[in-house]
Amino acid sequence: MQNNIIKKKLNESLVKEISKVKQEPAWMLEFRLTALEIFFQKSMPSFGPDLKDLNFENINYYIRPDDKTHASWEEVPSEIKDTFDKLGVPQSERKFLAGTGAQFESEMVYHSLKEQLKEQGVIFESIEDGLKNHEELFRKHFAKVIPASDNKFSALNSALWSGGSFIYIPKNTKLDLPLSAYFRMNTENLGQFERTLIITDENSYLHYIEGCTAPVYTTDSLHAAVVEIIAKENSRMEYTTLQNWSKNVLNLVTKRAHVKKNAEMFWLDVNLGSKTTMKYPAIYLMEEGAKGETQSLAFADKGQNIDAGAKIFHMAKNTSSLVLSKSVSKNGGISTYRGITKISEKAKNSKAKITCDALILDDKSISNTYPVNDINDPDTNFEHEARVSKLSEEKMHYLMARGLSEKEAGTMLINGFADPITRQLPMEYAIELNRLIELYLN
Amino acid sequence: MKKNYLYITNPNDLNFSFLENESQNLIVLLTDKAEENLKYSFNFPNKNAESEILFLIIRKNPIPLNIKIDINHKINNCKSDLKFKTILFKEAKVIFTGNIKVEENLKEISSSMVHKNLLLSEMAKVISKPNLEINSNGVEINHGFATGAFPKELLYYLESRGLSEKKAKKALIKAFIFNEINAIKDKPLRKQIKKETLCLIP
Repeated sequence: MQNNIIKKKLNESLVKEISKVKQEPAWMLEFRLTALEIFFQKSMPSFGPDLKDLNFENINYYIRPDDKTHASWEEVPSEIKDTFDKLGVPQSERKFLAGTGAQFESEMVYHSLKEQLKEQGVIFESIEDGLKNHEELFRKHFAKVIPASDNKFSALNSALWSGGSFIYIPKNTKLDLPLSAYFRMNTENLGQFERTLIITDENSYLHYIEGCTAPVYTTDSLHAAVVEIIAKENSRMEYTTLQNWSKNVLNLVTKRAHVKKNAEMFWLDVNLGSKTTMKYPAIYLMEEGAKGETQSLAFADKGQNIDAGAKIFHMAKNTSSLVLSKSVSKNGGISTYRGITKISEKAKNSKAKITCDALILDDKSISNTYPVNDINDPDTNFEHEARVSKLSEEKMHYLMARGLSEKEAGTMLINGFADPITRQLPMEYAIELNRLIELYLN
Repeated sequence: MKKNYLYITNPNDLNFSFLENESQNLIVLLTDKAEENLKYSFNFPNKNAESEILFLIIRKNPIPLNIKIDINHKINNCKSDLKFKTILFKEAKVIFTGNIKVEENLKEISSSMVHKNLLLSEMAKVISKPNLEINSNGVEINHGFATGAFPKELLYYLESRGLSEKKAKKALIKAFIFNEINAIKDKPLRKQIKKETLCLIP
């Protein structure tokens, strides 16, 4: 296993080697090297969870793409195997999710889907193939939404990116079925610094799903992804994330969408796993009539610090946004909503609504809310509400009086609390998520 | 519990620690004369204390007003209720940072913080950072923030009934701010606050 990993210090030579292995054009190497310089200059975030345990000297920065099997099933922790059992995940998927198998039985289905998409002019490839096969389109949009200089971890990702998806949906093309990273990843390894670039052209529609409800086991300690989205005029982009990393992962992700005239962006973000998550999907409503929506659900258990939220910037008139954030903390878990909604002077007649709802299930757990509401236009309709509470004693009593045990009543109430978000998921994901909520509570 | 009313205009710093079984109603008026950086702290170290605090902010002054408020719940069975009514004219700007903190292992804590803002000029701005740090599950904590456009339909309604634009606007501003002032049970104080706020509305 060790032989397959470029185990080097984080320096120019490592970046050059990654770029060489990927056979990249010179401009990309230059981009990566500049990003590395920026990474060294940038300081760690001044807010959020404590990242003092993060040691940049002690990370395997790159795993060669031809290394398909990099651990044995026996090495996977029993808690992960147990969860697979309880969820009823098929054997082949278990090995993939556990990082021990790269082959997946649905490969044929995947190839057939890919052919169909190709006929429609849809590009759905790995980020590396995107650069190789569509360089002009790629270069036009790459790092334009999230520049390397955005923050320390976007700089790190820009220097080391590997894995992820490149998607282009042509004009007037609406995909009925969601695209899933899960399909694409069956032939590629999931990157530690994955990078995703999605462009929905005019009047198109895409729903993209990343992640899966079973826990994704990795021996890596840091996951610093970057996701860039450009939603062009009249298009609608939906991006669903079901994050269930194993509980040794620092999940530090930068996600941002630029939304053009009358286009719509919808982030649906569910966070169950990881040791620490810092993720604030952003929406820039760049042109008139653009709409943005972020819905997030977080469950923080013992040892977990889930710091998530939303950033919305209204930069043009008649734009609107909606944020719904729900979190549950138990057993000493910390959940935090952190967000900003800014209405600029140009955003005449804009509307924004933010709702944060948190449940704390015991005295050891913590819930924080840190919103910023920045209003620069008088014709705005802006509402923000936040609520932190425990499970309603009256409702618990009502359910228990009808024969439910305390656990069953609690599970039912929390499923109800999460329902506005889980109901937006495709059915198979919603069912698994409900099972996971039961596991989380019991 | 008997309610005590306290009315303060443009205080620089406030640091309240409420007594056991105390019920305190506080009204704070902030005008153009207020200092630009204000720091207020409301502490609940004794049980069964409750406080209703109303901030009335009416400003035209272009110097940004920074208000930092800390509400610290340290013991069981306490209640805090903060309301803000802000009216900003011309280039007025308010930056509000509020922290509600509930310490560990507390029960029967209720705390709420509600802001309602009326921006009456293209140049008026408001930034709000209402933070909640909750370390107990025996709580009911709420925060609300609303900024609305001037209700044009109501303005039209009043104008169509013979009021000039100026009078109609003033009537709507009065309705916005008097809604809270009318809840003050101390009649002479209510009258005084109405008089003082009316002088600030052009």
